[in-house]
Amino acid sequence: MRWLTGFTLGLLTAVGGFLDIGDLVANSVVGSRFGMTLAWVVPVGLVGLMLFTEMSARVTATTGRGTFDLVRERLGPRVGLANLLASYLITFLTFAAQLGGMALALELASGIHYLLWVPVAAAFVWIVLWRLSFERMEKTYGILGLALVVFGVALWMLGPDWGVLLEDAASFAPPAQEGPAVWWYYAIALFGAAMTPYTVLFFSSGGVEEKWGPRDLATAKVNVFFGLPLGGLLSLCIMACAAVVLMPAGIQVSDLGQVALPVVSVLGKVGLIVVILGFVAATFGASLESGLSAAYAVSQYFGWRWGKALPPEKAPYFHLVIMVSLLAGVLFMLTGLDPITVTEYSLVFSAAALPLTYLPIFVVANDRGYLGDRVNSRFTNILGSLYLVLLCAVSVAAVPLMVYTKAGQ
Amino acid sequence: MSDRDDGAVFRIGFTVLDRQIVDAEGVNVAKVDDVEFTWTSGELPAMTALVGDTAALGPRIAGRLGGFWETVLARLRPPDEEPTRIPVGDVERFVPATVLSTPAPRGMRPLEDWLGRRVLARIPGGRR
Repeated sequence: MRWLTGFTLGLLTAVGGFLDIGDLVANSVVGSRFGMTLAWVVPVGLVGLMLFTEMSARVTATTGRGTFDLVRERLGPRVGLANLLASYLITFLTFAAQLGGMALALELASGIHYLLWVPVAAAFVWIVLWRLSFERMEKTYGILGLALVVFGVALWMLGPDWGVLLEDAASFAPPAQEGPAVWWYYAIALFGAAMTPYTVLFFSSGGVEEKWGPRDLATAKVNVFFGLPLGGLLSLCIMACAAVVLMPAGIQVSDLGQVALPVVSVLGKVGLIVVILGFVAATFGASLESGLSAAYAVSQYFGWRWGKALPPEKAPYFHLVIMVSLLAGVLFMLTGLDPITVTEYSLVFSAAALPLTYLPIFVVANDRGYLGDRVNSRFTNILGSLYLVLLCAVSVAAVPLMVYTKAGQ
Repeated sequence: MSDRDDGAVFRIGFTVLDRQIVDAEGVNVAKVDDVEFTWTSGELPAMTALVGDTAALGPRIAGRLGGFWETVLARLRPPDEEPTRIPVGDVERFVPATVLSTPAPRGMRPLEDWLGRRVLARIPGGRR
């Protein structure tokens, strides 16, 4: 029975944890501008995420070590440092975007301007990171995040013409009024949203915190192979909702209210309450995860004591990095930068930096010195190599496309 | 040290440098930032200690940044503190992490300890 509850909870966590402000915004923007024509990106990103998350779960369960711990070891101090800087900056940008997203969701609930909510949201995040145990933290927001299932319900009640949606999804071409450059630009943003690097970083370090051994590998795999696809399905629902409601009305998504609009249009006030609950839970969870990931990366590079399992007094540098990142994140958002823009930028920069996170995982997952006979199978390696080529192509194209399309205008 | 017993080739760059050092109680001590060799005339040089010293990373990062790194971090160290040396004899195994057979040497990270004791421990919940 305990095994069953542990299993269900893990699964729910994976579903709730997959969605963050990046997925909410990217899927909604894409749905409202391009209909379902970019739906193919979600499964492509999802398979990649599953592939590399499973690898890092295997590495963590076998060696008891987090991703960044191995990055410096395998890449050396110089390249490792460059990797750390890039990863930290991107995780920080993602983190700031989550804080902004949470503030926007709270504005939606209260009517109080989001800038006033930013410090409050950050204070909540800090209290949880300072005091709550790892497991309790993970489960709470994972389950509340499931409120986003309301997008699935709304889509069902909207009763769209499924045939048209499918036809759109299979067309593999931008709709008439949009050019190919912008279409590809948003494909990259969506890909960045699905494969967000902090997810893997958090997953592997979280495994170390929960002291995974080889016996936990089966549970972790179930979570990866069932939980993440359910999360992906939810993000497709968000895209479809936007495609059905927002696109025909010509509404451009520029804040969270418009993301929620399709749900509100069919489910009314109850829908609004549930969707706001889901927004807050998803962004709150993602702020915790990305904030921790930033501190995990730095601590693991330098070999400091780290982890939420230790009292803060015993892991001072780790908590110092968390506090400094939080403070910097608050100041960054208080400059008045639009949270939705910050989110879109964080997605594209994440996409540009994808190989930095995933290449070292791939190298280590093939090393018998670490994994013995649990190294990658030939199938995993073929698929992994294909994905690395794809990641490099995305990485090279991301920033030039951003400049060329003026960030998707 | 299992690696030696097997008679396997032992590459310092691969097996020792940049690995996490964990003490007998499972607490993170440092990364192996550098290694120390001793060479007595007439004998072969031998690795005698692991050095955990973030300043020692400077030359390994190389270039102007590396030089700057080394200077600044060496200056930040209190004058009577030496970089942490861990005698190779204390190492139980090198793979997958460097595990020591002894507890971590005391007072090896003065700034980190001070921060924990004097600042973080005073914030409510810091000791948990």
